Amino acid sequence: MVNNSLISKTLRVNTVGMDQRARDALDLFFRNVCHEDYSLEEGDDVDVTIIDMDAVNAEQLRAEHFERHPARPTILISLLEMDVDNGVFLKKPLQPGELKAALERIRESIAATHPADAPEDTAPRTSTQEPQVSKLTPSPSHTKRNEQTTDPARQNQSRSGEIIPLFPDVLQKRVEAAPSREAPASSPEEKKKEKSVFLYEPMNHLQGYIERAYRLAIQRDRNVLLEGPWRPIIIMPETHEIWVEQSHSHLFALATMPVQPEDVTIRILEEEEPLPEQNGSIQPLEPFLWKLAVRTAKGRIPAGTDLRAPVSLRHWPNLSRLMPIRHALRISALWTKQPVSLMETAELLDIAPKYIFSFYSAARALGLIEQRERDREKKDSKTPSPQPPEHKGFLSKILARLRGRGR
Amino acid sequence: MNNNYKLIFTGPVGAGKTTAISSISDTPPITTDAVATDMTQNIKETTTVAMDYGIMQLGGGDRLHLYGTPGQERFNFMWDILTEGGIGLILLLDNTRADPFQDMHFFLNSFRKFIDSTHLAIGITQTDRCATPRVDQYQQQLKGVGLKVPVFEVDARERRDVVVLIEALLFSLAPDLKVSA
Repeated sequence: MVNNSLISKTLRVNTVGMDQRARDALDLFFRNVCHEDYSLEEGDDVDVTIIDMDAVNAEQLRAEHFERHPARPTILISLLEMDVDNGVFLKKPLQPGELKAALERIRESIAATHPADAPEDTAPRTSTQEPQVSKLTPSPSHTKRNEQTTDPARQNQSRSGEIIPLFPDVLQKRVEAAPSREAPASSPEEKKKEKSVFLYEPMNHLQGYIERAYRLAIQRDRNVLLEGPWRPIIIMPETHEIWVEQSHSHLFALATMPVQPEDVTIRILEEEEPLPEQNGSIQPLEPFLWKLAVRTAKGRIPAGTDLRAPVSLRHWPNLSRLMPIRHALRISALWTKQPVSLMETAELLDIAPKYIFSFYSAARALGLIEQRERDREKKDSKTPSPQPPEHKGFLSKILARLRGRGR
Repeated sequence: MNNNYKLIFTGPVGAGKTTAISSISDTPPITTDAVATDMTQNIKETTTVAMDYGIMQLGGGDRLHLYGTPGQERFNFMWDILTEGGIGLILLLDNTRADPFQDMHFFLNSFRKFIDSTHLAIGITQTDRCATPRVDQYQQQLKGVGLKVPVFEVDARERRDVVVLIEALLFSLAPDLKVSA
């Protein structure tokens, strides 16, 4: 029997492991965009729980939640695909339509399994009474995370304090500013823009074509000409240099523009073919490609990157001659010491993921990244922190002195 | 209690050790230069015959002593003495020398025990005068001897370059190092 009162009531939602800014965004979304069909609650007496699986101690929080509320409809959200045995998975950034659809399906399930006059309870249900909520997204793999000691102060903080928007930027702004009570419809253009918030495909940009041209140049041991919606570019493998005619500011303005393969020509030059006589400049390839990768990535990561697979560097980048990326020295030091995943790097070094993503994108463009398969069988997958040296305090003083702070 | 630690600079003659120490020392470094009388005179007019010494005051009575080893091999008996109590090694290599790889391997072998117990950062100088070997080629050589260390192009006269090299060494010792308050 369907409980019609549940169908029309405001569905009460709480969150676990979600940082305050994301909670605020969700609250605004419920109030401004969803016609108050849902309400964000502080307490535990709710209809639905949303667990942020990107939180520092997400696995522990999830286990505790299901121990207390084995039958409560739960939505798990994460940047990464995950397999969930009980609950619904939604991938970040959240698509408003998907979130609403999940909540409505949960509402219908609750209404269908709650007799109209029965009091609400949180007692464990039999399997026949379990709300049937299906996954909205296919989840090819199960991610396991190591449990960490619960720090009550960090329970609702996301990893390293990084604010990963709950909704894509374009919708985050809309949520915060929405006067309308209509949920915004995501057009195909917006959906495309939303997906591009965290991921990008280097091979569809100037960066990718230069990488391809460089690989060809090395393979054939000949200069390679790259033509497209830019002035000609020549890759010189013998000297690891690049000849460019266009100014850096023009070229890097093209960095984030997707380029169609049919608009690009890559040609191997004859051995005796001279460089063009037009105004152009020869410069080292590595700093150019590093900077181009940073400008193309804009804090995003290449599509297909596994945030939880261990990463290491083949060797240190020549950082004194490369465009500075904040925390590049520390990340290089860690990734040459031991393989660590991108997300664990953020935790171990306590730095925002966007800097790690920028560094990763740039190092990858230079062919410096080695990434291993994630060990899915390994239960304790947390990478130990590097052993601190005995005079670490003294080293900190040296660092401060070098940076002009402290005497 | 005052803490005193050492940072060692080494490398062949003319690589820029004295200059590098000058760029970060709080006081003009003490150098024990003499007029070069051997083949060194073809490279420089003067050369360090004992060592360079500079100092960084860290506050609270703590000091970092900067020692530059003499570049000639005949002074290598001093190297063990100089490295005792050191936090790490900065190796400067002159890219214009006849065989920089040979230079590098010589110093790696001479200081290997110290490097293994602390850490190493390598600065390649004079790359504006001679662009090869490239840094990635030095890294290939280091891979062959099982070392994964910072190798940066450095102008020893530029404080910024010397600082980033030393910072790389510090972070190699402790990647999670933070600036002390």
